[in-house]
Amino acid sequence: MKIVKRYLAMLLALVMLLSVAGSAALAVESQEGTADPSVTTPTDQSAPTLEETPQKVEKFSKYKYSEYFDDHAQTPFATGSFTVAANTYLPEQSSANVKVDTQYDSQDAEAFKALNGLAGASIRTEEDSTVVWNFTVPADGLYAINVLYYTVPGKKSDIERALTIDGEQPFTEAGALIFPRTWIDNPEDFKKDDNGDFVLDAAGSKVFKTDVHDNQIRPSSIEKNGWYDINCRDASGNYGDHLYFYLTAGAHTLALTSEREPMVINRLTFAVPGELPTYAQLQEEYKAKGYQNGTDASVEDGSVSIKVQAERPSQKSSTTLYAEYDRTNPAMEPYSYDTIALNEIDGGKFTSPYQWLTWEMDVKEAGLYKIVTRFQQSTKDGTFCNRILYVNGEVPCQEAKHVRFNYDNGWQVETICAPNGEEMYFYFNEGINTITLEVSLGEFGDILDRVDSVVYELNECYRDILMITGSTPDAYRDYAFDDLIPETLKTMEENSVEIKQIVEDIETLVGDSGSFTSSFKTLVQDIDTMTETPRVIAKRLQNFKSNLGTISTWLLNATSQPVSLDWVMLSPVEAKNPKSGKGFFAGVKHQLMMFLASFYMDYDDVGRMSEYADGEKEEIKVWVTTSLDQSQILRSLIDNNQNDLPCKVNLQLVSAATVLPSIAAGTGPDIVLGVGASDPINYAIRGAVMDMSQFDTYDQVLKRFNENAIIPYQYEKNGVKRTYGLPETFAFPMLFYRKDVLSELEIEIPKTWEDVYNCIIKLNMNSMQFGVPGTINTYGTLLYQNGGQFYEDKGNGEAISALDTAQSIQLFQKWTEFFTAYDCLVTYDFANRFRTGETPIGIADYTQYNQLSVFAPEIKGLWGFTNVPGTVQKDGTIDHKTLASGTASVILNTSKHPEEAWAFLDWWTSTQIQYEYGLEIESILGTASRYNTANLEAASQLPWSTADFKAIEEAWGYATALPEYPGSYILGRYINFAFLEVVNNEADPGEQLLDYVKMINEELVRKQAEFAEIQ
Amino acid sequence: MKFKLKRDRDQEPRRKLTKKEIATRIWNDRVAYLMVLPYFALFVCFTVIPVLISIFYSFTDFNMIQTPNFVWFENYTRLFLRDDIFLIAIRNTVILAGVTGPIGYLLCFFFAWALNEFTPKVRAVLTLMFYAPSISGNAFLVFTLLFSGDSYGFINAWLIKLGVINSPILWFQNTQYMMPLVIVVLLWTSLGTSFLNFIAGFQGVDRTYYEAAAVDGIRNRWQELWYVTLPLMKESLMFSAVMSITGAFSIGPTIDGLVGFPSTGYAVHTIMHHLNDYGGQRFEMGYASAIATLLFVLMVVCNKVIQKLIRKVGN
Repeated sequence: MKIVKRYLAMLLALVMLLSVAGSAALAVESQEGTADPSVTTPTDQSAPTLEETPQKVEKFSKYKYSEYFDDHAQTPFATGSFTVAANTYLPEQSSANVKVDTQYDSQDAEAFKALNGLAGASIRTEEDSTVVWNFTVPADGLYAINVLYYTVPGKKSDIERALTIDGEQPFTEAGALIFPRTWIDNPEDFKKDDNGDFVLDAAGSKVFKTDVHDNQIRPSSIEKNGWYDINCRDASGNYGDHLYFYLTAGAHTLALTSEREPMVINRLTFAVPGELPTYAQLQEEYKAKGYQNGTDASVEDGSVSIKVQAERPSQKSSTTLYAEYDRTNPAMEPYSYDTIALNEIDGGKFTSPYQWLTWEMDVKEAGLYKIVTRFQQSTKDGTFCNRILYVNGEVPCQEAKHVRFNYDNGWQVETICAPNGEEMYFYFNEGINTITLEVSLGEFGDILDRVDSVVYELNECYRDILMITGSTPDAYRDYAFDDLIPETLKTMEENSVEIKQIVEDIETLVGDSGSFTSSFKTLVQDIDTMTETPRVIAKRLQNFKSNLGTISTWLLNATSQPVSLDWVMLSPVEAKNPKSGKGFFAGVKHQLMMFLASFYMDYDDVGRMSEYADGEKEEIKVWVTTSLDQSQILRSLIDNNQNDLPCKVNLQLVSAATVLPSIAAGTGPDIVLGVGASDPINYAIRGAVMDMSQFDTYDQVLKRFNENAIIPYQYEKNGVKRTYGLPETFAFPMLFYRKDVLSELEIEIPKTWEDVYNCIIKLNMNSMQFGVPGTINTYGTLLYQNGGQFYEDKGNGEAISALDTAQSIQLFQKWTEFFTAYDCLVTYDFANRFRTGETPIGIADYTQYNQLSVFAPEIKGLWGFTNVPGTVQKDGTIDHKTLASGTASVILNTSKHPEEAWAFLDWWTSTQIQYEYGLEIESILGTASRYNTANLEAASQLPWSTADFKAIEEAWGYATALPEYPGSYILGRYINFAFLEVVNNEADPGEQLLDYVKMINEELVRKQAEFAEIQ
Repeated sequence: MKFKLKRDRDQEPRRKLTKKEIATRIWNDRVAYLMVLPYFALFVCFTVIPVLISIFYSFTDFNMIQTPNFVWFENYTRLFLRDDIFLIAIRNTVILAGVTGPIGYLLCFFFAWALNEFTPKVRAVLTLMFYAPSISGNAFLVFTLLFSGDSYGFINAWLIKLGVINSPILWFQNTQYMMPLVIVVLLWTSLGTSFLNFIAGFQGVDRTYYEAAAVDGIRNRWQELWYVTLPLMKESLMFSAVMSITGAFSIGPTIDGLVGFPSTGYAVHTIMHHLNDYGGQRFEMGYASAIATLLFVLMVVCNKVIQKLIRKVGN
């Protein structure tokens, strides 16, 4: 009996685990039961025969620098050098807005007075300019091109230029050359005493300002405009600090076309950079010069000399490199268990190639010192992160280009060593010296570049196979791949060999790498099985794809080189390094104190600079419902711009759900930021929010936005149109497309919906999809482009649905047909499918741009975006209207200071503040979260490339928005129901829509009657 | 301390007490009252008063912001006579509660009974395994991955691979599949408090009763279960039943996590959802309160019925 029960228990457990599978079977059964036999499945139809497989045409693909370099491997490096002065450019071939510095307007002229004798020979190139030079090359050879440029103020992003020689781009990377800017921490953000002098800490460096609770406030960054001297180099960092260009003897032209930001150029130098000495040679040199070991001892015992806190660099390469705090470790300097003590540079930000930080070291006694850092590198298990060390602006020896920071879970204190582990000592002069650490991929650069090529080529192979099999290959069918795509198989074999080589190279570089290379080995296995017996390709395709995805992710991770830094110091050669931790008991004490501090510290109030005095200035309460980061950025903006504000602002971060109850209870704030698009009218009809059109500057403020952005926040009552919300964010769909895939399939980018059908048919023939969102916005786009409307406005804030017209029904059918007849998918991961090329073209929110640019590095430059497909109008023009979504700010009716509240919103939506806010967001949360402000001018200043922003600007003009009425929530809901019923169960579109329109109208009428008698 | 035991008091003849006598009694039992007070205060503040307020608002047209007006039975007549979706909600609630409540309850019971046979260590591990889904917050969301509507969703990918279907099924947006899937997931998460309570109940039965029962002529384990174990753990049974049933009536959030809100075609729209729809989205608090009151009545009635049924156990 007991045994029986035991088995019973086991059985029950099994049933529990299998219930998942069981339900699937259940669902399958019912699916089979309802399947309509007359509907043929489109996948079967679209399986292409041999004849249909399109001929490969001229390919849009990369010509990578590594290929270019290999193609010119026989060419010797140039021995001589020559210089081209910038002002010898050809005005007739260059843009009209290129100006020699004698023609600068007065403002620029001021800035160029102090150009150290470089004035008079420079030219200013705007952010939408091309400048062309003629020059003569003395002898054949490979040259690096060095540019001397001045960083004029712009949009605060790095300067980007595309280079062509004799009208041609030598290789893909030359299309995006980066000329960085230099930044410093704003001196205004450091503590000053009453005399206006900086307050210094024990080590003699400036300290950060603090708020009323003694929390240190992160400084803002300001640009240090100046002359910089940089070799043309690519954006990825894969090829080290310079690129070589092959030039034959004789006359050539060189053109620099602006991709981003204005720039002043003084000269171009063509030369080959000199070789650096090895560390051994450097030591010889030091010996010859008679340098002694330094014994600088500013601290009594002589063990610790010159220490600089890493979070206080003298210069830095990027605004994203700023002081942060680590409160988890008691050995951090400076240390605090309760207040915010900024004490580190976070590795999460100090991670991309070319980022650098410079610190000043005040050396009392010249001599040789070792450089010691306290750092944390806890992400790259099994390998190291690379930095280039500069001493006084120069890389002292070859080994200094490959300074390694090895993996460990905790913080480490280590001397900077050569790759072979030997400690390196460098000579420092008496007085101020600088030390710079720059992120570099080092030896990894070459490997990453090769992996990048492999991923790109294998993705191409994947698509080739996909075009034959479709996304759901028949595992038991022999597709005869060897006959159909022999080249593809050959490419795969070649790549398999290359991957094996890569793995070997990685292993020689980092030693036994284990998990670091395991994903490569799996992929190699996949490819080898697939190429040896092509029969199994169909079976293993999914596997292959997911392993390929793993490699893409690996690539993305490997490009980052995160090292957090606590401090940097120069130490006498013999001195022992301090310990990196403080021991177990210090840790326990730290945890305990932190716990206690959590009872009395008000971390919601961080950043308040002054105690609020009564009666001094009115105070308004502002609620934000976004994230902590966003609210902190806004708070620091408020603090920094206190003078532009009419009153004190008390900013509070609340959860979105609290807004409504607080309004009901009458304890709400004056302003709520970031409410959903439907909220302002919902609140307004209940009399909870204020009409903004009553304020004097209303019309002026409104001009900042797309004229349609305000539509959802306006409501008409008794013949008067009032505005209850001010747009904050604004996002609209655009058409994303893969240039390489489309050109390979000879598909033009569709301009109209008719073109889309052709495009879909061609894609389906190759088992690819067109991405059409199954959201009401797509229907809205079709409707609005045909002059239709969702609502028939009856005035006085009342409306009924206008969807029962013949046109609306026809367009509804058109929308659902994408999914029923054309095989588009309702649910799909756009970014991932776009990346693999399965969905090489699709409509998505324009903010998707940010995600793609960050998470899909392997297709950088291979995709673009443009207006969504349009509808041809009677006059022959094409209408690309789209429906935008957004968020808004509202002023509550209970506000006692409406004028001040309005002034705050005026300030908040102004171009300058929206721009600064966007920049800060981006610097903290990364490019992937670029702020989609509703202020067009602010958006234009965010670091978009000029060409991309042009596309956005055009789409911006076509964007419109849905109006809101009482009860309008029901429209989206029921249209979605109708849509899914048609798509899932093949219901008749017209019937479905009309059924639901009836219900929509009932709800609208009921809801509008509820508010008819109110005001 | 002059505590009068309940037993003593019951022996006194029942008669109407004077106010003074009541006061004396309360004073005499003041320690007991004091001990009850904290819970009583919390219960009144956060359960009794809100219920009363909600009943009050169900007679008004409260819209959460403006002062409510009395509309008397307007909300209720609309609810019963003019609200088609409410009928759908009732139907779905009855189906979901009717299926997941009893089945979940029985599952809890049988799992607990079976687990009770293992050695303590094995039992602890198994208990954790079964209990985990219900405490791990949104763990059920793993089903949204399994049943993703994408053609690369686990189930879709498999079915396509096996040739059962040709295009992906939108499991949680297709009215045909939503109800069975939701029931499966709810059952998966149902081994919650009542399961633990059952395990405790089984542990609480004194072994000597089994011996005595064996002497008295119990022939098999089923009899043992019915005549000894169950009657001895009636309190556990009752508690678990109440938990299961009330749980089955208020399963809104789990469903939202799976199919979104509102569910397509109101396929799994329950009374809770209807309440949230009117309260949270349409701001018709008066109407939502009427729904809440109704739900409250429904739960009370259900509990009464269940208690009646449970009393029959072992008889």
